[in-house]
Amino acid sequence: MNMRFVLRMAWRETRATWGRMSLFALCVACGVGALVATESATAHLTRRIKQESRSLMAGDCSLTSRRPFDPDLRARVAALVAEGVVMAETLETLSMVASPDSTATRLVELKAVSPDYPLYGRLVTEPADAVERFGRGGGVLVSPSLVAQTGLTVGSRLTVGELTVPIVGVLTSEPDRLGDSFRMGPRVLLRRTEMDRTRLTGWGSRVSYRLLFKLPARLDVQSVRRRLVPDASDRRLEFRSADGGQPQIEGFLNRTNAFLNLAGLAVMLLAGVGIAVAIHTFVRQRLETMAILKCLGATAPALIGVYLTQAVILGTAGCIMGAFLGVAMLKAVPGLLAGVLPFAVEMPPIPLVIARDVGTGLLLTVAFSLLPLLRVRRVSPRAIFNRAVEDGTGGAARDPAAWATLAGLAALCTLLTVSRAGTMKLAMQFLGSFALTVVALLLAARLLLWVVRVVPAPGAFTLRHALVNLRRPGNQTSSVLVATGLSVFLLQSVYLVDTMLADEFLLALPDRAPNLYIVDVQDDQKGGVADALASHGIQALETVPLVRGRIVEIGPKPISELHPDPAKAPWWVNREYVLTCRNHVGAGESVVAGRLWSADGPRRAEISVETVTASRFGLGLGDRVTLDVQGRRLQVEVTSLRSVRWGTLRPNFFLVLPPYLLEGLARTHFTVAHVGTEAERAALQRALVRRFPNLMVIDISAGVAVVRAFVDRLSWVIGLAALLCLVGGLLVLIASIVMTRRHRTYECALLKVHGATRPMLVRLLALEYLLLGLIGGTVGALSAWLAAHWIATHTFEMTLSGRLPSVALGGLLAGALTALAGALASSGILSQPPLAILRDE
Amino acid sequence: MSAPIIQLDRVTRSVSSGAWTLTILDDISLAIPAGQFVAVIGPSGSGKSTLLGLMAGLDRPTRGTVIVDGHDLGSLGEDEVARIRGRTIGVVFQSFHLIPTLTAQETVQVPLELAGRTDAARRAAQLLDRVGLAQRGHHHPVQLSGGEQQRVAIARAFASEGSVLLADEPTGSLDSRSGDMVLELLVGMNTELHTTLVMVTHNPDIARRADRVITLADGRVGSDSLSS
Ligand SMILES: Nc1ncnc2c1ncn2[C@@H]1O[C@H](COP(=O)(O)OP(=O)(O)O)[C@@H](O)[C@H]1O
Ligand SMILES: [Mg+2]
Repeated sequence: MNMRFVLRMAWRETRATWGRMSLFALCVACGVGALVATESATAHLTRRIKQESRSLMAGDCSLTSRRPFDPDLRARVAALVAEGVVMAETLETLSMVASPDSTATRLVELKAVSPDYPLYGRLVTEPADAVERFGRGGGVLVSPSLVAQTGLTVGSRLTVGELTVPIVGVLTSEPDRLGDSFRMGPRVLLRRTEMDRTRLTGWGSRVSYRLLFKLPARLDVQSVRRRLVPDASDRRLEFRSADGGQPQIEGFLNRTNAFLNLAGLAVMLLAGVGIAVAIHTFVRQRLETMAILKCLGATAPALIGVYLTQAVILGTAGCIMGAFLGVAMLKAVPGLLAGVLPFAVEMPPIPLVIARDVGTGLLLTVAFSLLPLLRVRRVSPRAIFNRAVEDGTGGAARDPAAWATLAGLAALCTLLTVSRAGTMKLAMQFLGSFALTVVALLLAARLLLWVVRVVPAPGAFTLRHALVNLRRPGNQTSSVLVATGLSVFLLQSVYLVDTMLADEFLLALPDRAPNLYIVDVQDDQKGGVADALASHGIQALETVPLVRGRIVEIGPKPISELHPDPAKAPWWVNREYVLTCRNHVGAGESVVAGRLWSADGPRRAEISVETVTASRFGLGLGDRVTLDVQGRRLQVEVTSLRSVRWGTLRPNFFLVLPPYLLEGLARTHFTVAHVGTEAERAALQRALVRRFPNLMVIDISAGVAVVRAFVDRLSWVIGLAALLCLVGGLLVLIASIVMTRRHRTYECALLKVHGATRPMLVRLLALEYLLLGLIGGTVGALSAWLAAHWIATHTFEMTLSGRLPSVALGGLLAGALTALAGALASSGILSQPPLAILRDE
Repeated sequence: MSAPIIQLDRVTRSVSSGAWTLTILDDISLAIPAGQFVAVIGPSGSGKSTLLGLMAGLDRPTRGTVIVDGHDLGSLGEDEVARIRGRTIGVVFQSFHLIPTLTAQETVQVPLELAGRTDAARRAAQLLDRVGLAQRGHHHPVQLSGGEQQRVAIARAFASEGSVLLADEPTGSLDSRSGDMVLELLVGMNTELHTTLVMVTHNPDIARRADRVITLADGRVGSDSLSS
């Protein structure tokens, strides 16, 4: 191959087709921009969370228990402290607080801390010196939300249990608490020594006891774990290390990262399709040039070299633009994340990431270009004698080089997806749905062409010509279908993720959704609580009994055998499950397998399990489970599986038992109610707490608002991803329209010569694109729905219900938009005088 | 007389589509010695362009062999043939076939670049000068008249300094004045550079100037005569 010729010719071709091919560069820029922005953002987030993990835990490691630590453990801790380990102690519980200075009562998250707390990070207060006064025993610190909700301020007195103390300051940042999101109530921070005086730690109260440790360099976390918890199967003690991460944050982060990374990659792949479409159309337009060059002695490799070099030139330009675009988008991310994370994350450009993504973009550009370029080899120079140079399309299916390129492309995409999705499973699901959508769209295009060919042409001029256009030589049917379909697919997938989040996070609640929770109602208080509600004109939506228990055996096997190392076991293995008993399915639940027992049926030892929990433990109908409930072993058989739509705010449970099984066990009741206004809720709260001081009455509307605000933020991030997909899709669409523009200009000129009017031609074009848009949109939307269903249930353990009509509607809308875009992008060609065009050709 | 530079031995070219087969060229044998000027005439559809395409290696015979400058074109791969064409054969078409995106100068440079010549630009300028277009090097095909385009095509065909020039009705799309000019160029340069020229034409005047006239009819050689 003659490099000199290749380079010169590539440069000439680039120069000559710059206008049309700049769209190609824009496609690349869009894809690379998306890659750079998402990968940089996730890299920053991960690094920041890692950085914060020590202060998020406020120690190197921690030990948590539901019960006070026994003297044995205290002795082991003392031994460690003697070796230089620094220890801090915290107690956390929920409690109602009141104030002699106000009528407000509030449920708060109470935390009592020893003087050394926190071991990492620091408490930030308003005024700044309040930390010292707190340390000297001047009073309590409260979070800003308490101040906002009750009107209490610094200096006001607060009654916590039996203790009344002044508020010394407002706590604006606490290292191991991520803001007020997902909280039962505002924070009240108390000194450990004052906790006993509240008398809130007596029998029956739910207190979480925690020891935090800061280790000297010579002690490693694992040896400390072995010394603190010698019996690894001891489930009463939960050991955690900062390296082990923060399960909730990490789970959230991993999902967000995977989502962002895949959204970025999706845009890049979409851009790749755009690249392939552009090159495909371009090659078709350059067939004559290629035939001439072959006549002059150019070999096929030299020609491929020419056009690949051109792709690289344009791709490089696109990549550079993309890098700038990505960095610009990155700048917007911290603003979008403000309020979602408890700490600020800065997003400077990361040179390594940019370099890698530019490399990736270039590699994908070459791979996606090569596939349509291989056709160059089948261009016959002989055809040049017939003037009309024939298309070298045929035979691609038998071309081993085409298959090899396709395989290479697939391998490259797989590699990229796996590295970005984090897990092989998610990567396969993503790539699988993407590839299947492309195949479905190509098949739809084939089917359409076939139908147009076999069905007799309709009489109406515009419709007939629109259909003829679909199948004329060098038509753009496949490319427009794929472009529209894929963008709709990506957009709808993003939309579905968004609605799933909204479902999960309470954005779509009914009018009379619960807004007041009454917790810890004792058996003998049930009647009294109902009376109190009735006297305020309120009827509880539901009251359910609660009992706590653990799963100890699955089938004949102890759970400790299934997961021998508690440190490595997933969180759902050893957790305490809240159980209830009832004879009916709860709100938002449905039985998907087996049957739920009835109140008057035979008494069997059985259980109903939520589907996701069942699949975690590998449980099916007929399997046996043994529970430990207050020391009583209950061996039960799974007789029904329930799918649960969480986020209704109604009590839903992983495990439900028939009522007779819990008879004689200590239990509390949980009442949910809907109370009209905030004032009414506050009045009811005061009345209930005055009469039953042990009750926790929670106004959850504030919490719901917080969560909604949070998800709203998240929606912005998702919206950004959607926007990228939309821009990418539009680019591909416009690319494929503009690439065939000359051809259409010529056609339109001819039709005009024969007497077609401009409105007629506009209708013709719009009709053609409408047809393509509708079919592409529908196929894309359906694929998105199927893919979202598949991935939601199998990877994110969420359920996607309904939505099919709205998804289908979105597809139709996309079709209409395509028609508009198509007609607009082609409208310029109608205004040109036909003579000039015909002379040009 | 020297050894033939183009030799066709029992060449048949047929195209088939499904049930029917159309024989375009039927059992043709020819030998053209180096330096000869051959005119190929015959009615439209008689297979002249097909014959030229076979000589240029742009097409393959269904049966028989085509040997150009010692290479059996039928036995070589497409890229191999392309290389030989680049070195040995220049082609001029009725419809010019200039690449619309290239200037005249670049057009003539292309075969020189393909041949790896470092003096491509200088040599191309010389050739443009020879065809009387020295001032038009930076013009694109749309800016040139038909006759001028064909002169650029001739410069391009002679650029590689190959020993064979094939021209398929080079004046067919031109008015008689431009046609004459193109013809003078082709014949003149052919004499100067001692190339072998095979030209398909309908013009009896040209045929008279040729060393030899081959008449095709229905895919066969009707007559083959040397002129005095
Ligand atoms: N690829 C082809 N498929 C079918 N018929 C062809 C093909 N190429 C040429 N022909 C036919 O072969 C005959 C000779 O063509 P051609 O060599 O172009 O004739 P000429 O140049 O003498 O006018 C014509 O009838 C033409 O239609
Ligand atoms: Mg012909």
